[in-house]
Amino acid sequence: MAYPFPTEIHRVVDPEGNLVGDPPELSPEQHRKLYYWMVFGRMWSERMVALQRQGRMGTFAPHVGQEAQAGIASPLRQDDWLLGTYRECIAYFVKGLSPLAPMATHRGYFSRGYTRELGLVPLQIVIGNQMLHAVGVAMAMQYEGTDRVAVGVCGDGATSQGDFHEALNFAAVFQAPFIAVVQNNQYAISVPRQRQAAVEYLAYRGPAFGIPGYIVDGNDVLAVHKVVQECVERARAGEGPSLVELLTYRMGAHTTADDPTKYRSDEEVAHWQARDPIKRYRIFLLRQEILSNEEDEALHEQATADLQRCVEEFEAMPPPRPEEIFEHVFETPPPNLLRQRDEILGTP
Amino acid sequence: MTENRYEFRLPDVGEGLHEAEIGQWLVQEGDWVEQDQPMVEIETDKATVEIPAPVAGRIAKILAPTGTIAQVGDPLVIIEMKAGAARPGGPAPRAPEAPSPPAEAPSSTRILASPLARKKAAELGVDLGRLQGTGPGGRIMVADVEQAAQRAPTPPPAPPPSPPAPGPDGRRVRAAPAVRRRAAELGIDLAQVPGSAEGGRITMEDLERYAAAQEAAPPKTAPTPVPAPAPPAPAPAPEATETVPLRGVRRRIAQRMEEAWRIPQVTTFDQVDAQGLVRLRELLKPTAEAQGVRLTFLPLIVKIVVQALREFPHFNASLDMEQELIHRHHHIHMGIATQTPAGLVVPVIRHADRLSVLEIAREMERLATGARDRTLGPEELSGSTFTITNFGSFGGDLGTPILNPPEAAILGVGRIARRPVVNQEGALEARWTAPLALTFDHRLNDGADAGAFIRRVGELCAHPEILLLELR
Amino acid sequence: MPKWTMVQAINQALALELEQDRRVRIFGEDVGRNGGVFRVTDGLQERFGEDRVFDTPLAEAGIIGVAVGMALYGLRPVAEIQFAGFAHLAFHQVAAQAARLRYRSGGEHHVPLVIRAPFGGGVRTPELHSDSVEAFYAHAEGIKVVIPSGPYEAKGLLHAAIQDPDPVFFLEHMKLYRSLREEVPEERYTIPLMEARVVQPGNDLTAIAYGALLHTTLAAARQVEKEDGVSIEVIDLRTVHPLDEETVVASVNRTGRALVVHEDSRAASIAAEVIAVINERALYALLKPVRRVTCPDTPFPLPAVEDVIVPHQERIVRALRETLEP
Repeated sequence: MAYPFPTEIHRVVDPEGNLVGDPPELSPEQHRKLYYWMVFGRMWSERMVALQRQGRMGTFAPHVGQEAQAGIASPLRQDDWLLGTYRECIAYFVKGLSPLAPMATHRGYFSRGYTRELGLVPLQIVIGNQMLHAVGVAMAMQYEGTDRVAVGVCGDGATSQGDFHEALNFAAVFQAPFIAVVQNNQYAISVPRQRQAAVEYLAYRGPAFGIPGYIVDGNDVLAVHKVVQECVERARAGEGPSLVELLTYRMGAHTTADDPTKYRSDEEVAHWQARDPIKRYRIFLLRQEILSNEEDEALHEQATADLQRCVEEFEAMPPPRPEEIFEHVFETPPPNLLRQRDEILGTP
Repeated sequence: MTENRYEFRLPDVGEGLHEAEIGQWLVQEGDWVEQDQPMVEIETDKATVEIPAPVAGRIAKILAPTGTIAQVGDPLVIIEMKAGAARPGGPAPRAPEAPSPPAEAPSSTRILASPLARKKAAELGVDLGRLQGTGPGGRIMVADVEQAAQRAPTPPPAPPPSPPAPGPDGRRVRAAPAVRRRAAELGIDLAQVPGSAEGGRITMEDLERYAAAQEAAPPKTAPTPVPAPAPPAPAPAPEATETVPLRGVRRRIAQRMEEAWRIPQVTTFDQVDAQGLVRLRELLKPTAEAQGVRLTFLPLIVKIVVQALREFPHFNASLDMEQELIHRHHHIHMGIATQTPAGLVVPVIRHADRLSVLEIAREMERLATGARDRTLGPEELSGSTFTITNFGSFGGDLGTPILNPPEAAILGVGRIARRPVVNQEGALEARWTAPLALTFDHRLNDGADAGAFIRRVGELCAHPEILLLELR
Repeated sequence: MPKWTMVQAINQALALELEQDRRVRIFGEDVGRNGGVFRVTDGLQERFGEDRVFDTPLAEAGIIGVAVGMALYGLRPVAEIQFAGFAHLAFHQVAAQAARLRYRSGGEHHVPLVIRAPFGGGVRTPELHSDSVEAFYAHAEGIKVVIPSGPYEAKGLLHAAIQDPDPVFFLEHMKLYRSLREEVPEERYTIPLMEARVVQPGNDLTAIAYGALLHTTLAAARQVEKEDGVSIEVIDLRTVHPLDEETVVASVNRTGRALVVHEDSRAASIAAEVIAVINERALYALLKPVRRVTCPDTPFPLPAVEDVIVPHQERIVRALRETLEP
């Protein structure tokens, strides 16, 4: 396969909310759903940071500014799989994950709720590893003769990992129904995108492996949805994998333990502030009369109430029992592990 | 705290932070705050962050003013919650920690120092409590710490505590764990056991051999280490009880006695005429002395008992109840109960029936010395078929010997002395007599047998020349 | 019953699994058309098709990474790493991913993956081909490490490994591939994982080994038994992690003496763990220190000197005798 380096930056709605490309075919319901998760997702992320500051949450990686990731999951069916990292929570919500699940993950509980039925795997911690898993899932789907697809999502830093390259290579060689999505938010903690790769766009990695690459305005949820949708259709049709680079920006810190003022300028942050993904989508929805101001207000209220309920439910969640850590190393705990359990926790 | 007062404590806002400096308060006492409204800025080693209000309400009291260093867990502010407001969940769980040190002084009296200055102070070993800060409000800055460090160089770290002094021989006894366990079971101090393996290591065989020897002999005192002089013992209080573990020879004796006591045994007494015995000893003494032997009564008594045993072989026997067998021994190994400083042992004159009186005397002397010096081997301390205990040597007239299992009987000999005796004429006469006590296993022999045996011993004591009739 | 080599026994096990379980797929470098560099997968692609048995790009992390994905999805991948010494490239996928997904997900996901890899000295391979890697993976909690000691064992253990719900690293000693033949049933049978085997009972010493050195240890034990009139219990660990502590502890508590033999280097090794377990649970039975006969803490001995350095019968005999002394 030979694909050229991509040149076009896919965009549907510009930062001012003007329609500049063909919008994807989405029903008003689908639009509202996408918008809702972006709004809820931002509130959720801000609330997670507040909870952490109040001592009620563990380390958390905020995703404010990257809400257009909702468009990664919106083209997927429930039986497709999505494997991402700790900064893909909104895409996971769209895929069906309960917001309680990543709250539990970040509070140091087991990562439950990322089920096979939802096509999800617990948020990946080790940068880039999940890309190979996603290819493996895609190869299994292909082997079983389904038209399902697997999406692997990683950040710009992950594209430097061997696993990322091996994933693209395996996917290409086996023509797996796989879509690699890179959320290029310009930084791997403090290391800027230019230090990760000398190429102008990370999407150029695709053609090198025999995979088409796409560059997308990653703060334009409709563009994200549209391009991923196209890749999903190609994959379902047996036309192989794709690589999608989303150009976006992490408005907040890497995690609650990070201080981004140490490595980036206020001007740079302001530049991206003006490209806010929620703001532009809202203008679009209002202009297209998919949403009224009143409906927008109601939706915000709904999201606020939903979030409050989430926090309450989360705080009512029982923490894991200490014995449980011995129960999930193997399906059947070996005797020596049980002895260690009894040694530490006392004989039951 | 009343129901609607919420005390907010400093959480760990980084990953493993312990303290933070309180920056600008964004609210004042009396202000109303909404949930998640920023309240205060705090500065840590990692970042400056805003802390949002966990609940909505009125700021009742700010407990950590700007510039204080607060530890994770210190109260920062009290918020009076709106009526009916839900109390938020507790802090995220943390790994259980070691008990915290006693609470520090309230934050107002705490040392003011910037986080960097604290870090520097820790690095340079500077005590912040001794410094005057030059920063705002007397806050200690990095420069203050560095200056202080130059003024007073940090004393070198204290040398590590020296290791405990080695034992007298410089190391612990060398023995495998299984040997140690067995030694503990036997109540044997391994320091007393000679090791035959490399480097003096004690093998299981060494231990078992030693234990067998200990059944009769007292333990050797440790050959190498000279025990340090014991510190003067404090005067025991009246009615003080000292409790010491039952160990060594005493333990073996206790065990053996307990074992012996389980045998149904009866003691029969007699006071026999020893006139002939005394006369014979007087007669032989110079001859024996000429041969280097100090003749006591005991070798003669051994010879007498040997003769009696030949005539009453059922007293030179042992009973095995488990197998329901009676072993009648054709050899006569005579055990002689011997008191040593460490306790009672029973050296054995092997084949006493084949030895002359002189030989018996010599053997007894050798064994007595060996028992005292603890040089006897197991074969010299076991295998007796009958035992004689000379309780007379302690001045006793009467005594009830306890069997030496598995032997059928033991003969106790009291002090040989002149006692008033009614002679055949009915008159009182001072005669040499010996009190005898024969304890026998009543399962093997009856009172009549014992009576006959002790009478025969008496007869031979009175007229030892009878022995000549049996001489081969 | 046919007498098979270990290569044949493993091939047969793989064929039976492919036949009976459609979820099973075999892949790796050269496993397809070539049938593996040791011919372990010989004829399988021909018989079961390229969907079931296939070659991959030359990338160890890639092979294990996609295998993890397949296993998460519900397949039973059997991935081959051409030589265990090359598995280091995939270490993170094994230790940080395959081994942990059950745990991270609180039991909602599991990774039924088998990684097969040849290893072992005595065949004068180039560098890194011979290395023993079991101790690395023994420390990656959540994965079982299995090392068969012969054809019969290999087949039964491999069947159990493939049907195990958790990841198994299955290490095949190259020297055993063709050096011995055993009667191996043609039908499917399993040997339980995490259970050691008492190869021969004895009273005076417990010799613990696995893989190819089990046979050397057995020979040494029999020599000492014959010449010195003692009796030696020989245990094949089979699963080197998690350890079957019970079998080891029960034996040492009875014999009071133990020797651990393996080809891996010494520090932080399986022998170190076995001895730690003996220390914790059988110390008071010990009459002598428990010794190890292993490779030294060097990289695997150069092929030119491996015969001298890798544990051989005389070294084991010597250690047995020293341990048997009072």
